[in-house]
Amino acid sequence: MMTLIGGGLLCIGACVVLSGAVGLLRLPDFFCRLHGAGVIDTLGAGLVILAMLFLSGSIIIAFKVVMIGVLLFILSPVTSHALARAALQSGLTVRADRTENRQTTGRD
Amino acid sequence: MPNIGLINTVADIGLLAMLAATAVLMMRSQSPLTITILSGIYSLIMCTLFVVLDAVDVAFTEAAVGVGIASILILCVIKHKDEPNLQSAWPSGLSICLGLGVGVLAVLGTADMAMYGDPLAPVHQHLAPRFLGQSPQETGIPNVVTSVLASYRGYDTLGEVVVIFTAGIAVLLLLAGETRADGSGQHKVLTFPAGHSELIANPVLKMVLSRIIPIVILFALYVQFHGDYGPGGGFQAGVIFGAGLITYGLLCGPGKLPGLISEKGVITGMALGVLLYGAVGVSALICGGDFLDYSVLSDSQTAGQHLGIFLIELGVGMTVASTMVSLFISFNRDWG
Repeated sequence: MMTLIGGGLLCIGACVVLSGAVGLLRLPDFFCRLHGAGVIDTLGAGLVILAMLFLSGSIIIAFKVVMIGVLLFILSPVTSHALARAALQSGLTVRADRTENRQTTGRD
Repeated sequence: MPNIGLINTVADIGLLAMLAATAVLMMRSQSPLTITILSGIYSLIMCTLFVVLDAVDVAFTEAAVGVGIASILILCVIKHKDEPNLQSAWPSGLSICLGLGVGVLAVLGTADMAMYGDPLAPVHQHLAPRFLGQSPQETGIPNVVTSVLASYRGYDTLGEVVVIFTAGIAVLLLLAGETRADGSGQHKVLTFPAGHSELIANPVLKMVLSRIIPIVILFALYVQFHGDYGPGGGFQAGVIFGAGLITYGLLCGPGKLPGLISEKGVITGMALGVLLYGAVGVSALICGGDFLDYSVLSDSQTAGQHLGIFLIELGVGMTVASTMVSLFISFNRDWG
């Protein structure tokens, strides 16, 4: 049962990572691509970690997996945030839609 | 687990293909920034390969040094120097012939090597059975890697620490020379350009990293002192410790780092680690044993081995961590 749940979660996680990778390659500008990377970092990695939790089979390994999960959960959004902020501050524009380029500042 | 060998093979092939692709991209890229990031990715893939090969301690080092510290140091250089104009032209005929020739020789050389994991390979016949069979009784340490590194091959490890120390001193001398020629003060610390100070002012990064860095330092201490039982030891702990401090330096500006640990203190730490290692060897001599023979250091053989290995690992960790931090500080000095 555990193996089944773990395997299912692993498959869903793999699909999410794959779609994130496609997004990373296909989306039009930096911020959209960052969204793709963010999906991989958070949902994809999170699902895979959850699958590992079901597959781990021992309390010690499960605890280590939880620790990795907590670190990823904190650090992945922060990396995405830092990348986006750095891009904004180095003068990259956010495209509101396909025709119009909107200049935004670093601070809201 | 069924088919773990097959999964490992698939993982190996995939990772090696990614490694090759990264190397080709690095050759073809023109921007130093891109090459630095790609070399970080290269190290990350290597790190994964080491985990697949069950060499977790090597993976620690590769992750901390290859991905973290080396990339940061190169980025510091790129930040301070004008971007060099790299031309990416196809190599000339001579260099292609030379490269292919050396490559063919290297591949031919592997033909004589034993298969990976072959228990009948000569290297596993000579000393390895003794290390694997005797080391738990002789040193009382479950992790054979640590007992081989620190006890049976203490000379080699002393040599490695001295190499790291010497390399660190050499870099410090080179950079110090440049500062003096410029005429500016030696302890002047570079203030970051505007774009970078924005990174420093980023509240989210500051808030999260100031909570993560203590965990990194704690993990380094764990790797240091748990090296007798699990993967780890002085080298790994040193680079993780160094990486934690360097992250702090990036977060608050390298100028804050000398406030935390003085530059003089870091250089003293480099020397002290090597001295501690050597002193353990000499005290073994004084106690009536051979150089670096820890068995005579305490009442029983295993207690002496424990004490000796603990002390020399501490020396290794001190030297490695101090070298990493002093490199970071000196790379961020005002070069003029």
